[in-house]
Amino acid sequence: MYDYEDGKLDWLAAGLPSEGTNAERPRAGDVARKDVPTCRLDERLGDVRDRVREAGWDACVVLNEERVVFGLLRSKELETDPDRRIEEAMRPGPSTFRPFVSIEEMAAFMIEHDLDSSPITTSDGRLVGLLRRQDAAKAALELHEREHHSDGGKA
Amino acid sequence: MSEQQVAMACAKCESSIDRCEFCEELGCGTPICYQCLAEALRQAMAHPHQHGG
Repeated sequence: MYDYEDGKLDWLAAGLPSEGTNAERPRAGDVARKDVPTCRLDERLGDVRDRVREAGWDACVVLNEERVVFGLLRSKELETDPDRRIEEAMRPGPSTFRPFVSIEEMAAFMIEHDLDSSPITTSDGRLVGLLRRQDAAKAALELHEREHHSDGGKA
Repeated sequence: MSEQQVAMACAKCESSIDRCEFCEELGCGTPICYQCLAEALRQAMAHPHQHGG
């Protein structure tokens, strides 16, 4: 037997697997894209933009050596002067969300606030992935349909 | 407060805020403060014991 010393909430906050009645309900950490491009503070914006676009993305997460989120480059920031350093061009200290947050709640907030993407991090700020609005909305809709059909339409 | 800052109030608790904690936009139509956001998303759950168990 192994006791996870940091407790259940930290286990969930780190995006580690869970069991039980609610384990099958998708969470922000399950839907967040782990392949999101990342960059460092001292890189040149033009180089990062080329790399991000080549990978088919329009956002990039700025990390330090420990994978802690320092900033975010959405399409608006990526389109600025290519000679700027990332440190100057990024949106610093973006709002981040924990992996265990319900995908339905995240989708509703992202739609209400017209937000394209949100970084999902552990409680100590390390990147889990980037949650995109269309992925969150799709997962929330699928969950709604699955639950509606599983009760035989009695609701 | 500088001239460029606009007074905003949380749409839930009406407390004064500098920006929406969800979308970080100054012109957000439904701004929310950190505390209400944490509560809405249940991000800030109290640990049952101080040691985190």
